[in-house]
Parts: sequence; structure tokens; C-alpha cells
Amino acid sequence: MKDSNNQNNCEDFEILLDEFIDGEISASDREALEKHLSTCTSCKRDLEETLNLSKSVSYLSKEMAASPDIWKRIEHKISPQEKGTTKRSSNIFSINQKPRSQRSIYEQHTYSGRILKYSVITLIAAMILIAILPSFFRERGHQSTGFSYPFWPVIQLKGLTTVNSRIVNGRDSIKLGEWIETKDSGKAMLQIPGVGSIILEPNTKVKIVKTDTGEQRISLEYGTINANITTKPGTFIVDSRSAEAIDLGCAYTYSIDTGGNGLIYVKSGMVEMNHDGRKSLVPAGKFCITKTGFGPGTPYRENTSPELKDALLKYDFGNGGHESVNTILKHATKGDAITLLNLLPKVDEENRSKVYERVSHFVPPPKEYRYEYDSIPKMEYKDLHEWINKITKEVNEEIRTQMKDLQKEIQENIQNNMNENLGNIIDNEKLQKEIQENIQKHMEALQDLPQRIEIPNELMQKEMEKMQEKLNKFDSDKFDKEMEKLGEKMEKMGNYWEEQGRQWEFDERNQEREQEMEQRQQELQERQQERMQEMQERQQELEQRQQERQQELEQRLNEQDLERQKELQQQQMEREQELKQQEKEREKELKQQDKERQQELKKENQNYKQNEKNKDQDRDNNDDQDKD
Amino acid sequence: MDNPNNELELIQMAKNGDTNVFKRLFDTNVSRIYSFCLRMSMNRELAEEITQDVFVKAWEKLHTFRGESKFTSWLHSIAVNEFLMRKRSEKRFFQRFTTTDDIYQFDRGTNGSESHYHSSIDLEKAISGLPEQAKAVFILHDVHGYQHKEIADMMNIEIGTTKAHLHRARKLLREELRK
Repeated sequence: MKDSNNQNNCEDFEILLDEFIDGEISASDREALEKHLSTCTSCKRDLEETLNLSKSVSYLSKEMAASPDIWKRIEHKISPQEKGTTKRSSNIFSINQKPRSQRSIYEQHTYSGRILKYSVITLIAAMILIAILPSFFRERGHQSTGFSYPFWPVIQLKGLTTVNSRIVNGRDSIKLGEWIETKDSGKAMLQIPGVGSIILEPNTKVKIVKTDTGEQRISLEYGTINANITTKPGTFIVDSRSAEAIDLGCAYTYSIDTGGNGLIYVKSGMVEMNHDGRKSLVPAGKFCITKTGFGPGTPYRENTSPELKDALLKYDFGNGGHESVNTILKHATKGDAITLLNLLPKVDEENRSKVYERVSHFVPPPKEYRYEYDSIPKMEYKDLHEWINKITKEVNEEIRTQMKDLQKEIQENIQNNMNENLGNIIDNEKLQKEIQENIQKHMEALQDLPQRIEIPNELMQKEMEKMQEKLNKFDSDKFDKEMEKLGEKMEKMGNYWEEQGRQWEFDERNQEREQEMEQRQQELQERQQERMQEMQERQQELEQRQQERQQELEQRLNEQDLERQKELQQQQMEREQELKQQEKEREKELKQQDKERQQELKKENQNYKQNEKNKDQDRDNNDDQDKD
Repeated sequence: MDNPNNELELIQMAKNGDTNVFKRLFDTNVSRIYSFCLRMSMNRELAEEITQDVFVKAWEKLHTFRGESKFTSWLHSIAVNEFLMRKRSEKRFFQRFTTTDDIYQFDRGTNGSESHYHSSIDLEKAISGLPEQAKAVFILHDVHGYQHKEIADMMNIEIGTTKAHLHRARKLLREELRK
């Protein structure tokens, strides 16, 4: 822009105007522009108008309130249920546990510790919980509060926990419809007034669904919860995609993976699992698998035989049927009586008598359910509670004996580990003493409560892992079988429909391609039209500019002619004046010369006259002399 | 988003699939994105539809956001490309929407002065008549205050092209407002 030849070109300065307004102009360009503006009224006007435009634009709003419905629609589209896919792993163990190689040394040590030590630590944690919140678990037990609490307290136990994206610092609260979520490192306790407490393990997401006095309901989206429920049976429910868990006065651990499949382990009391009429009654010490699209499986104990477990899974989620029932009956022992009892309402008439016979053999039914083996009526789950309680009592009696031995070992370990573990957690001596007293008291009480059977997290996870593997296998087996069946059907129906299908597919693809081509054609046409329009606009602009320049040029030429003419006239006038002046001066000169001539002539005349006079005198004198 | 670190943390949490955290990011940015969409489309329903699509796309592509630009710039780039894509692919898409009443309601609301309101109406009308790309560049540069470099990155064009679009837009607006 430093070229002075371009200084009069407004087109170049137009771009500089933008840079000038936006404060992006260089010093030299600014100087050139200012020089140009001092002479160009058109550019000066453009500048003023653009500045006014900028001022007006500054009044326009940068932010505008959008409808709140937008988020609802977005949420609907992005929620995992809606999309059917999720970014998280479908394996529950990736939620709860990092790969072993990624764990810290401390974590590895803890992870690989003996189950007994794990039990001790879990027990201590449970004891501390009981010691800190005795009134909560004991005094409020089985009491209705009479009204619903609008907020449930939330306590951060460790790491990051959020309530509706709000980070929980220490203590917080949650209300109906809100989400609580623990992150990788997070662990939190949800207190439900008058009902009990829920501990959310890391990577767990729970929604508060209902807070009525008669029913409290939460939804476990994914992750693991440890529930300690002391309210009236049947009033606290945990929803998941594969089943609802109705509390019947108990404590349990419930894990759900991101696919909605889950595993529940009941520590005390009983849980009723339910999905679309498919039920299972899960008493203490039993596992129950839940599968999306199926519901709950049949409960089983931890130490049941692998054959029985496989047969159960096939019966519940595969294509087991009669064969599976036979395997179950073959491998069942007294410890599996609850499993058999849960099968009773499910099996057909033929198998019903076999199952009834087997379970009666282990634990005879209460009086009102004693039938002849060939006339067993279809049983409902509500009819089985008493029998289950009887079985549980008897089985637990056996466990109690085993527990006593374990208890002794635990007590010894507690004494050894007490200072190490508790000392790190709490410094307050008084509180420590109080906790120790409480622990002692509860240890004693525990001896009378053998039905509360804690499960190490590791064991729960392994169990879940095994079951998931099998469930996935069922899925692929089922898929393979369905494909096989489909193939057979296709064969039977001949190739006609296959060809027809191909033809349809071909037609459909053709149609899609045609549509695509049409669309592309349209796009091309549109682009061409746009380009044509742009070209026309540019052409018009160019023509206009050319015309303007032509006019300008003509104007300039006209201006130049006029100026030349004026100049010539001026020169002519000047010459005329000069000539006149010269003439005058000549005249003057001539006059002067005349004057001088006249004077000279006068002088000459005078001289002549004088001479003549002198001559006359001389002559006279001579004459006189002569005379003399 | 006052604290950029906090925004990055929220984005990281949202990347892990936390829709509640994403809602917070939505709340912070929606008014700016909606304003852009409304000015581009001059129709409330269409602006809402595109705002919704912008945030759904942002959610889906969140893992590709590396934090090199501001989150709002990133959203604006999705919005502007969404408009230009629709413009290209949907025949007479924008011809369905000819009313410009919606946006004036907002201008009346935000600017108290009656004279400003009237001049804003003229200006909004004039902006609505701009060619799409020039309109997008003008709104992003003059209304939202983005630099040419940022706009060039957003629209995937050269800086010289954005300058040319802005120049064209301003010139057309001057001519329109002169009438």
C-alpha cells in the first residue's frame, strides 16, 4: 500500500478501512489511509457508516434465553438407555476394580490378602459403622417415621462423589429425582431416615425414585451398593434394568453392570427379586443373578457344586429345561435346599414332584405344605416363606457352628490388627475406647446372629465375573442356535425367499443410491447456481466499476481540457498585457528620445545661433579693425 | 465458565459419560449458541432444533475435544458447520423460515432504548439478508467478537477468505441501511 500510484484507488482502501476499524492496520497503511481519507469523500463516508454500523451491532444481544425444553430433548437423546450404547465397559469388574497391574503396592497387598484378613477389615468397618451410628441401625429399627423426608442425608466416605453434578464435601443431601454418583475413587453413604443406609461403592450411580412414607424406591443405574435396611419389610425397593429387589428386612450387596445385568448377595434377612412376574426369594448367604430381558435367576449358595450352578444357569437363562432339572437334582445337597425350593413354582408338573421330593428329603416342609409326591399343587412364592425360614434356620444352625470357629480366629486377628487399623483412622482416645466397647458388645451379639453372613468384595466380584462369562456364553450360544434354526428354515423354504430378499435388498440399495445421487445432483445444481449467482454478481460489480472508472476518466479529461483552455487564455491575456506594457515602454522611450532629440536640436540651434552671433561679432570686429 | 480449569475438569467428567456434568456445560453455553442459531436462522423453532443438534453432536464428539480452543468456540464451530451443512444439503431449507419477528423480541428485551430497538430491527433485517457465509462471519466477528484466525479455524477456511466475507457483509449492510 506504500505505492503512491495506488493512493487514489478506493478499492484498495476499502479493505484498509476494515483493518482500520478492527484495529489491525499497520502504521504505514494507516498513514496512507489517512492521507487518502483527507481527499476522498466517498471513503470517508464509508468509514463513518461502518463505524455507525459497529456501534449499532454493539447493541445486539450476544446471549438469548433458550427454551428449557431444549435440554429435555437433548437429555432424552444422550441418555445411555436411549442410545443403547455406553462409553463405559460392560464388565462390572472394570467399574469396581482397576486391573491388578495398575494398582498401588498397598492396593495389591490388600487385594491379594487372605480372605480371613479381608473379612476382619470388612468386619471392623461394619463395626465402626454400627458404633458411630448405633441409634440409626438399632433404635429406629422397624419403625415408621410417620412422614416422608424431603431430603436424605449423604455422607462422603472417601474420594469424589456428586449429587446432580454438585460435588459432595463431607455432608450433603439428596432429594427426589436427583442422582448420586461416586467416581473412581469415591465412596459415599446415603442415609434414608427411618429406613436404613446404603453405601455406594466406587463408580456407582443411583437415582432417588420415590420417598413416600409407605414406599422408598431407588434406581441402581450401575455399580455396587451395600444396603442395611431396618424398616418394615416390603417398603424399600431397589430398581435395576434386570429386576427389582424388594427388601424383606435385611442387609445385602447388589451389583449392576452397565448392561443392566446384576448379582445380589444377601447377608441377612431376605430379598424378593422380581421382574415381570418372574420371582426369586433370596435368603441370607445366597447369591442371585439377574439378567436383562429375563429377570432374576434361581438363588444359590456360594459353595454349591459347579455342575449344579451350570445347570441352574442353563435352566434360568439358557435352553436347559428337563435335562437341567435332572442335573440340579442329581448334584443338590442339603445346602442347596433353598435353590430347590425356589425352583418349585417354576418347574412343570412332572418335575415339580421330583423337586418337592428332593427338598422334602433335606428339610421336611411345614405341616400345611405336606403333600403326596404325585399330587403336588402349583406353589406360589408367598407360600414358601415359612418353609424357607425353616430351611434357613436349619442350614444356619450348621453354619453357626462353623462361624463360631471362624469367630475365634477373627477375634484374635482383630486384637492384632485393631491398633494398626483403628489408630490410623481415629486419634481420639475416648472415641477409640467407645468404639472398642461397642465392637466388643457387637461381637458378642454377633454370636447370636450367625445369619448375617458378610461377603468379601473380592469374592463377590469373582462370582459376578464367572456368572457374566457364562451369561455372555449363553447369549452367543443362543444366538448361534437361533441362526442355526433360521438357516434350517431358509433351507426348507427354498431359495425363493432368499433370492426375493436379495432382490428387495438390491432394490432398496438401488433406491437409496438413486436418492443419494439425486441429492448429490441437487447439491451440485445448488452449488452451480450459487456460483453462477456469485459470478453474475461479480460480473455486475466489475461492469459497474468499469463504468465508474470510465466516467471518472471522462470527467478527468474534461477537467483537464478546461484547465488547458483557461491556461491558454491566461497566457494570451498575459502576453497581451506584456505587449501593451512593452508598447507603452517603447512609447515612453520614443518620447524620451524625442525629447532628448528636441533638446539636442535646441542646443544645436542655440549653438548655431551663438556661433552665428559670434561670427557676426567677429565680422564686426574685423570690420572695425579694418576700419581702424 | 469463570474458571477455565473448572471447565476442563467438567469436560473431563462429561467425557466419562456424566450427563449431569454435561448439563452444567450446557447451562453455561446455551444462551450464546442459541443467540447465534436464532440470528442465523431468524426462526425460534429452527434455532432450538439446531441448538439441540449442536449439543447432541458435542456430546457425541466430546472425546475429540482436546481443550486447545475454548469450549464455546468449539460449540460455535459445530453450530456454524451445522448451518452450512444444512444449507448445502437441504433444498430450500431456509426458505421455510422467512419471519424475523422472533429475534426482535429478544432485542427489545435486552435493549431498553426505543431508538436502539428500531435501529436494531433494521440491522437484524439487514443481517438476515446477507449471504450465509458472510452472515456467519459477520455474526461471529462483529457480534460475538471472535478473531479472524478463530473464525477461519471454525469454518475451515483461510483468514483472507474470512476477511473478504466480513468486508462483503459490512459493505452490503452499509448499502442496505443507506436505503
